[in-house]
Amino acid sequence: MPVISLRNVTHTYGEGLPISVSAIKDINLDIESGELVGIIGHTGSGKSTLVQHLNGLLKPTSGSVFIDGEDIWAKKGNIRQVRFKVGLCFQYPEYQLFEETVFKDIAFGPKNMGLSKEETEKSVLAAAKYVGLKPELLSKSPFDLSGGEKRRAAIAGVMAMNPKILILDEPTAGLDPKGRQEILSMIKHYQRTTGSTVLLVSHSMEDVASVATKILVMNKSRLAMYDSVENVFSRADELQKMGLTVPQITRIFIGLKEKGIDVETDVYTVKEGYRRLLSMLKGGER
Amino acid sequence: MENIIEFENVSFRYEADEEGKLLDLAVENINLGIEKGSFVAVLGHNGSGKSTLAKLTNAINVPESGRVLVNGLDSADEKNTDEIRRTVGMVFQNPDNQIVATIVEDDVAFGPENLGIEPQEIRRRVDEALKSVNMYDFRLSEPYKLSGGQKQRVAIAGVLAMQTQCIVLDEPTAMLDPSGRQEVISTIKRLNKELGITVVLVTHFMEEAVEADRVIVMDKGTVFADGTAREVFSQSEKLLAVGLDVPQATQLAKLLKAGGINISTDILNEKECIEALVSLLKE
Amino acid sequence: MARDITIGQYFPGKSLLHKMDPRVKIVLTLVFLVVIFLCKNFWAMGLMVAFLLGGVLISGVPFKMLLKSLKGILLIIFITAILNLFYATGGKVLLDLKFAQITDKGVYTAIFMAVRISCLIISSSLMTYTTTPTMLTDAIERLLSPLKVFKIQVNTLAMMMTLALRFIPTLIEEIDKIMNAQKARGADLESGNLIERAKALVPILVPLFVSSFRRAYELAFAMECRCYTGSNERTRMKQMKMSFLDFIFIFGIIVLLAGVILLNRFFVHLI
Repeated sequence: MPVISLRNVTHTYGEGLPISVSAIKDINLDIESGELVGIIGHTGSGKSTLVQHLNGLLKPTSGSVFIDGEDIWAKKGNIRQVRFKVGLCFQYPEYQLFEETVFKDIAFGPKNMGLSKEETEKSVLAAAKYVGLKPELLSKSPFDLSGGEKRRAAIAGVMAMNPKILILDEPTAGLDPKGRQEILSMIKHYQRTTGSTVLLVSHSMEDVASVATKILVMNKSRLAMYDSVENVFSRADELQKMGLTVPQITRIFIGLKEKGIDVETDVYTVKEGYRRLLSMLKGGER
Repeated sequence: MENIIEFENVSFRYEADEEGKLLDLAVENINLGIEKGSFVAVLGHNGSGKSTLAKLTNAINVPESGRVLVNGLDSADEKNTDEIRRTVGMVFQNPDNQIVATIVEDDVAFGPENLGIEPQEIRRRVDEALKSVNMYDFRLSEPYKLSGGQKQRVAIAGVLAMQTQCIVLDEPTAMLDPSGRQEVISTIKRLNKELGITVVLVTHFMEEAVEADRVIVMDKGTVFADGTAREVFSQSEKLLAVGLDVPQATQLAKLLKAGGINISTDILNEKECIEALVSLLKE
Repeated sequence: MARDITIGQYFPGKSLLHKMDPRVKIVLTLVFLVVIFLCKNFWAMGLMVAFLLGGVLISGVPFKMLLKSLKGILLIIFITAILNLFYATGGKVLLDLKFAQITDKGVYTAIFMAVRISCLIISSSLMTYTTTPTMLTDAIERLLSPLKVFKIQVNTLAMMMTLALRFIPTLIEEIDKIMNAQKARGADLESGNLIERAKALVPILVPLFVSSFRRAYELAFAMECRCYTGSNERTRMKQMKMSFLDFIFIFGIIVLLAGVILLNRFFVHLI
């Protein structure tokens, strides 16, 4: 059974008004448990609206959202429970920090869940470990941390709720290459160890390609693709037509194909590109 | 050609925190000249001192030791501050926090108004500046309704309207999506080529730095590498070591070379890479 | 949320009202507000309403938008009307409840008061709709400039107003974002007693303050970079000059004032 199911989900802002806009249209989607899904699409494609439906921050104007096979809007007063099950970490999450200490801030979610003191502490420590925050930082004020540490603390605040599904909206925005890489491998590690389902919203194909098991592409409020990474990249020219920037290595292969060279375009890492080219070039020599 | 900005043995540290502990130097012993009309990219990871360097160019930061000269004027002398800021304009990372007025054209007029310029002349400059960043059609819009890329272009227009000779952009694309980044980069490239405005682009995106005439890499408050994009990016191991990226095209060429393929390793972009590969494969 | 705020919103246009000197517009709006209070009967009020409707037609601002500005204070209008309904004494009794009486005078007064408040709101929002916030603050600055004699920093005050107007939409957006982020962590903002609710605001307010200070800090840098010192004599791109048009509007208001005084005189006072 899929852990997330959407059936004909549409969300229209300002419904009934002359200026109404459909942010997402008629989405049908099944995500299996344990996947690491990269969600891409450019600004205004509906990806942020989509993820806010998964934890009930937005209610579909039509259609239904199922988490674990349960319609989240069927029972009244259920929505807070859904939010604990589906953790959503927004873009620039460091701006949500507010407590006196990092520990207390990470504990905000678990406390809202009504966990006991011991359970809360256990969750906080585990989350801090996942994001790689040193224990001595936990007693500091979150406002004294460096930019990268703040980002980690904020992500830990969502992980500490032990959500079955973790959604991260642009977790690497504004970070330098090294910071980006660290956050991505941290997420990958978290997903592998906990076995939870992780959804990663990103503008960057490179980022997504390096960690995801599946890719979901949003285009003009609709679900354009949901498939394995290889299959999505084999349609790289379509992605480019949607205005999405594919990794440079993929662009190189698209360019080669355009020049009449017989290659596939489903290459998305330098290593894979190297492997294929090497066999072609060495093969040619023989 | 002469230099518009000159760093002479510049060191700088931020003020001590509440406990009075002396902070480490943010930049140390910098010697640099920025040539008039050039397009320079300053690359470095967070905390490498690249933003500090940017803020030293127009007297927001004043050196602890050494001198910064803008058109020959010493930035440490307060009498020069106005003239320096008129020469070197700044664009910051967060587009929201640098737009002052509630209407686009009023914001662009803010700088010239501060300089006490005649109203008709301000009008002329504002229109011209908005046209040169392709935002003239939005002159009556409210800034909060614009996209990030558009807001940054308004900020650039605000600097242009002061008729600055040099624009320093401090990570102007860090908070933008790919299309916004593209808008900003193509705008500044055009300003550099067509209007001859000196551009200093501080960034951590190497694909933006590739576009520049000259790339300066900062690490630990010092200049780590300095040269043309080709010279700098061909030292990929060095760059990776300081937490920076190298274009995938360059990485691929390096790997192929190591794998025994006869390919040039100073490939910078996909176009060069494709050409080299095509000629190899067609042989 | 940001969509619901109408005060301080500008409706772009090129009507005569848009073209008026904002200084004249502000003064005339104030005079108009005073005249509304001078009205003593429906005849005088009718003249005001007619004048206001004329203004709305000239402005080209859709009537719907003006009605939207009334939505926020509907409750106040309603309460005022109800109070007046019962408060007025004298006249024919229409309905005799045990604790109070409703008289025809009460009904008239209630309607009169509702119309009066609506006129107040519509006329002032008509002014803000036809004047950009920048023009408005510029005009206020110039109207207050005589205060410089008393060493009051009028231009700093005007700059503060401009920045406040500029950042209202940004901060509203920010509040929305923070609220969503905390809700996603299970923050309960809707239930509980007064103290619990006040406590629940802490996770919203602290980040909001922190980010506002950061914004202020960065903004100050950006303004300095653009040669703002707070003390230098600034020029303005948009000049304000009174034209023939403004004199026509001034004349119009004088005629209106005379009309109201006459109508007050010749017809029975309601209040």
